[in-house]
This record gives sequence, structure tokens and C-alpha cells, in this order.
Amino acid sequence: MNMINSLTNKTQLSIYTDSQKIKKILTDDKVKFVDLCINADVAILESKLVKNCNSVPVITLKYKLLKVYPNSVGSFFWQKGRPNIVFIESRLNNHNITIGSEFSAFVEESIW
Amino acid sequence: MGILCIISLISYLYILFSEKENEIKDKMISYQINAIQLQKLKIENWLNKSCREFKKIETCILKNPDKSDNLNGLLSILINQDIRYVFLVFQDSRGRYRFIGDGASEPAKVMQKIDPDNKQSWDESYFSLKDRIISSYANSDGLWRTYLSPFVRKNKTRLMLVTDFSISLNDKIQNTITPIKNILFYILGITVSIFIIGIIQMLMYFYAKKESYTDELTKLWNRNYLRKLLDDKISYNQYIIAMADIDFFKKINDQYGHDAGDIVLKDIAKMFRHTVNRDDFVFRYGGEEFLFLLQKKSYQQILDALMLATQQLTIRVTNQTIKVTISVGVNKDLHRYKHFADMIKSADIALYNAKISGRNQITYYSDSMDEKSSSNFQIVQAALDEDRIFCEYHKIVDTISNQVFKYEALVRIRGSDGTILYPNSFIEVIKNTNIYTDLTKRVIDIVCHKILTCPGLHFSINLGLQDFNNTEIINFLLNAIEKNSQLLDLMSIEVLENDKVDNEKRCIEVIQLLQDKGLKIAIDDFGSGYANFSTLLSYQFDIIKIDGAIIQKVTEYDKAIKIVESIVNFAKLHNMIVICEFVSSKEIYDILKSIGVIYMQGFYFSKPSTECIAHLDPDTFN
Repeated sequence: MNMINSLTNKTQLSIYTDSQKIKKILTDDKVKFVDLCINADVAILESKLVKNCNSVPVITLKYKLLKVYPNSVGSFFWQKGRPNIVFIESRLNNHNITIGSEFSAFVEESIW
Repeated sequence: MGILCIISLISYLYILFSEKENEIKDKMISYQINAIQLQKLKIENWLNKSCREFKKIETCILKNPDKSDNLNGLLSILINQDIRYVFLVFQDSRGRYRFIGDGASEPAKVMQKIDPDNKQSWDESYFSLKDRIISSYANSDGLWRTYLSPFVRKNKTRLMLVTDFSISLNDKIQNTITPIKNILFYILGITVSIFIIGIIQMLMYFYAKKESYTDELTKLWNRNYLRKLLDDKISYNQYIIAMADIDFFKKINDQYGHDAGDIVLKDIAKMFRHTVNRDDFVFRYGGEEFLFLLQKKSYQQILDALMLATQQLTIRVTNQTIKVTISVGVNKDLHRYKHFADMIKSADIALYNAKISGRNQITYYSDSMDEKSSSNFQIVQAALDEDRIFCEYHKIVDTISNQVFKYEALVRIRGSDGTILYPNSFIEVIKNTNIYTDLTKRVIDIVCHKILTCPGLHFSINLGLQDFNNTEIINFLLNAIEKNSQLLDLMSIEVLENDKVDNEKRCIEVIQLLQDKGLKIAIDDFGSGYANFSTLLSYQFDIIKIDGAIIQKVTEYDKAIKIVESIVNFAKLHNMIVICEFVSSKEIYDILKSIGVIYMQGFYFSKPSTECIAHLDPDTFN
């Protein structure tokens, strides 16, 4: 939740997600799930089939989806049984997003 | 002892297995690590050969996809059911770990960052150049241990091989060790249970054994323990025997109730226990009888202490206090006897002498003690046991109708040698004992039976005034009346009052109760001792039997005649019958007849006999 909060200054977040797990995890009062991606402040996506999501900053749940969604700014995913976080610096800048210093260790210059 | 050894051994094995568990696990990992090390060497050699021209291996691999594939292939060889992930990483300038190679079927991208679950341990291994096995925090993914192995060149880590062991390896080891541990645990549990059961049974055995040797009420040793001591051949020469008896215990029971009697016994027993020495023995020998085995060196002191302690003992029963005394008979020359029973018998004789000498004293056995009289307890008891108690019946005559008015039942004992024993030789001795009660009940029984076999004849039974305080005797009498109501018409009681009575109020109530049922009560020996006119103020007797001592004097003293006459007149006024006993001659008969006496008893008419007839012998008055 802190990671998501760091992407926006809004007190009330509208989130679009195609992941049922995310809907179960994010139960904060500040979070409101929307049905259309275009209406969201942030989109959290785990598949590459979501359309009409180009203007919204996207967090992917798989590393390789960073390449699928050009508007993705970061990714939360499991790798080798370990949780991983990646933010892409240039994409953050594209969305004028400044993340907190505690996440600076996860900022990468490029997608491999 | 054997069980303790087994328990110790099994406990040792169990602890050993528990401690060795981790060692075993590490051993299993080390077998895997040997294989990993071999493959790591191959990878290192291949890297050295394949990336020789490159300054940095990461550049070599990044720029050569086929080399990346080869490397991944070499890493994938290590993956098996126990090894979940194998990958190669290096640390960049910013301290982040990045993939160089990955043995997974879908390998991670070269240069892709990986966030370690335990970065500190990774760094320690990376910079210390040493292999490490760490626990994995990622066990939600089925990971158990992580093996970190740096590739070192020129004293610097270039790459680090990361091998994640699957939890299945741990499970495999657990599945082998756990059943063994369980078996050991169950065996241990069963063995400990058997041991505990054994201990409990042993304790119960000793407790039961102690209980069987202990009197339930007083907690003193009982006869069983005495028998055991005798079987163990106690050395008699070191001891003396003392028999102690609580004086007038029967009275206490009758006056205060059996519960109070139990309290008395318990308190006395407790006092006895605390007074004797540790090496002495106290047994509850009978109802209120105690046997002491006291050491010869200190018995005198102990006996004195016992008497003093008894005097000082105050027993509290509800709102009342009871004081008791004891009589003690001592046999201090045990060496003279062959059998223990004889030792006790002599102590018993000494006890009897203490009783007849006034009670509340210690008497020492000597050969000069009258054995015959001292054995009267035994004689009466034996007579009861062998049914040698019987009654003779003395006529009381109606001098107007010249018929038998009634018979007075007189108790006798037929000795084992055929001789007859009369009450004056045994009654006083057994008074206030259970034997006396048993004897009285037997007489009541004999008379009740006689009434049935001699229809129409009336019989009287002699009871002491104190007997009306004896619940057992009175209940026995009431039961007999209840079974056969004709006893009320054919039986009466003659009350002998030659002692001051305890609880006179109760006596009066009981006599009244019997009279209300229809029983006639006579006062015997009237005119002497306690049986005088003042007695008639408290009691409402139906019959007055004038003392024979007065009757015998009517031929000598006018005064005697006047006394008898006044009693007769008094009785007439109060509707009481008068009987004169000890009428031994015609002269006495004529005098008594002249002053209006109707009912008479004495040798002038007949002597006591076992036969009963309703009419008089025709020669009676000749």
C-alpha cells in the first residue's frame, strides 16, 4: 500500500486491477476499485490483455509485462521464491511521479 | 532398577536423535553440496575458457546469447527434486544482485535485478569469499535452505552461485527421523507409565499393608501387627507387657452415646501414642482394651506417665467434657513363659486385680494372685459361649389363695466341672462390662422362653437400676415384648438398687416407658441402703419387696414388725403390692400374715429350682 501511495499524492485512490488477489489484499479505506481503467489513478495488471489503459500509470505483477505496457512504471513480482520490486526511472519521469526515498533502491534505469 | 535403566537408555536415545537431527540434515545437504561443488568447478572452468577475452563475465554473457544458454544449461543440471532453484549472480556497483545465469526452465533475464530475502547473509558470503548455508525466509514457496558459494578469483568474488534447497529434502529427512523418534517416544511413554503404575502399586501395597496392621478408629497397631511381631520373633526379654482398660467405658457409651465413646477411644489412643517411647508398641487389643509392649529399661517411667497423662486428659464431646481413668495390669517377667498367650494371660490377671481393687491403678502380676477368681471374666464368657447359663426359679406365694403368685428368676452358671456358680461370685466382677450386658440379655431370653413353655405362670427378672441406662439391655427387652405381647402380663422387673445411679433422670424415664407399656416394676430390698422411702419420691413402683434383713428380724424385734406394717399400710394407700422375702419359718409366716402381708417368698415355702408349677405343694404350710 505504501508503494502505491508513493505514486500519487491523492488521499483517495482509484485503482483498476485485473487481479482478484490484489482486490483481496488492498482493503484500505483509501482504495476504491474502479471498473474502467481509464477512470483509475493507478492500474495494477497481471495479464497483457487489458486495453484502454495507456494513460494510466501501471504496476505490473510480472517483470516481462513492463515491456508489454509502455505506460508501466514498475513491477511487483515473485522471483525465485522471493518478492521483488522494480521501478523504471524514465517511466516514472514520464508520469511525473516522484517516489519516496525508501524505494530508491528499487529504481532501475532500464528493463532487461 | 531395571526399568530405570531402560528409561534412561530410551531417554538418552531420544535426546540423541533430537540433537542429531540437525546434524543428519546437514549431512544430507553436504552430500548434495559435493555434487554442487563439482558442477560449480565445471562452470568456473567453462566461464574461464569461454569469457577469456572479456574483462567482465556479465558483459560476456550479456552480449552472447548462446553462451548465456550454455551457462543456463550447465546450471540446470543441478536442479532435481531436492534443489528448487540454481542461479548465478553478481553484485553491481550499487550493491544490487543481478542474474548472470539461471538453471530454471524459464530463466531470468541476464542483468535482471534480484532482491535477496536475506541480503546481509548474501553480502557476508560474497565479501568473505566463503560458502554459507542459510535458512530461507521464503519458505512459503517451499524453500528450506540456501547455499551460497562465491566464485573467487584473485582474492575477490566475481560471481556467486545460489542454490535453493527444497523443503522436500527436509521433509524426506523428517520422514525418516520422525518415525524413529516417535517409536522411541512411545516406548519411553509406555515404560514411564509402567514405572509409575509400579510405583503406585507399590505405594498401595504398603498402604494396604499398613492399613491391615492399623486399627481404623484409633490408628494404633492391631492384633494383626502383634501377630506379625510374634512371627518375626521379637525378643521378649527386652519388654514387659501391660494390659490397660478404660474404666466404666460401658457407662460412657450409654451416657453419652457411641459416637462419644469413639472420641474417647481416639483421644486416649492418641495420648498413649505420644506418651510411649519410639521403640515401644501400643496395640488396640479389644473394644476398650489396650496392650503395651514396653521396653524393660524404661517401662516404669512410661507407666507412671500414662497414668498421669490419663488423669490430665480432658476429652471434649459436643458441649461436654469427659474425664476417664484406666486400670493397668503388668507382667514384667516375660522370660518365665514359653508362650505369648500365657504372658498376656498373666497381665490380664493383674488387670482384673486392678479392677477389683478399685480401678484407676497399676497392678503387677504375682503368683499369689487368686487365679480362680481372676479368671471369672473367662468363666462367664465361656459359660455364655457354651450355653451353660441357666435360671433357677424361686416361688413368690399368694398366702390367701395358696397359689404361686409368680417366680423370681435367679441366674446360675453351670461350671465345666458340673458345679453351680452363684451370682455373688461373678456379678460384681463383670459389672459395667460387655460380658455383663450379654449375660443379662441371655437371662431375659431364658425367662421369655420359660414363659412360653410354662403358660399362665408369671416370672420376674432382676435388673440393677443402672441397667435402665444400658441402651442395649433395654432395647433387647423392648424387642422381646414387641415379639410377644403376653410378656407384659406374665413378666415383671425387680429393680435392685444397691448403688448410686448415674443419670437418674433417664432411669426414671425408661421405667416410666416400660410401665406405660404395661410392665410391672418392683423395687427389691426395700428398706435398706438406697431402696427406701425417698426412692419412692422419684419412682412409681408397682411392687415393693421388703428387704430380707428386716423380715428376718420380725421374730426378734417389735420394731421390725412395725416397720413392715408401716410399709404394708403405705403400699395399700398407694395401690402397691408388698412382697416379703426371706420368709424362712412358720413363725415369720404367722407374724407377717397377722399384719396383713399377702405375698411372701422364702425357704419356708420352697428353695429355688429349675421346675415351675402353678400350685403349691400340699405340705407347704406344714
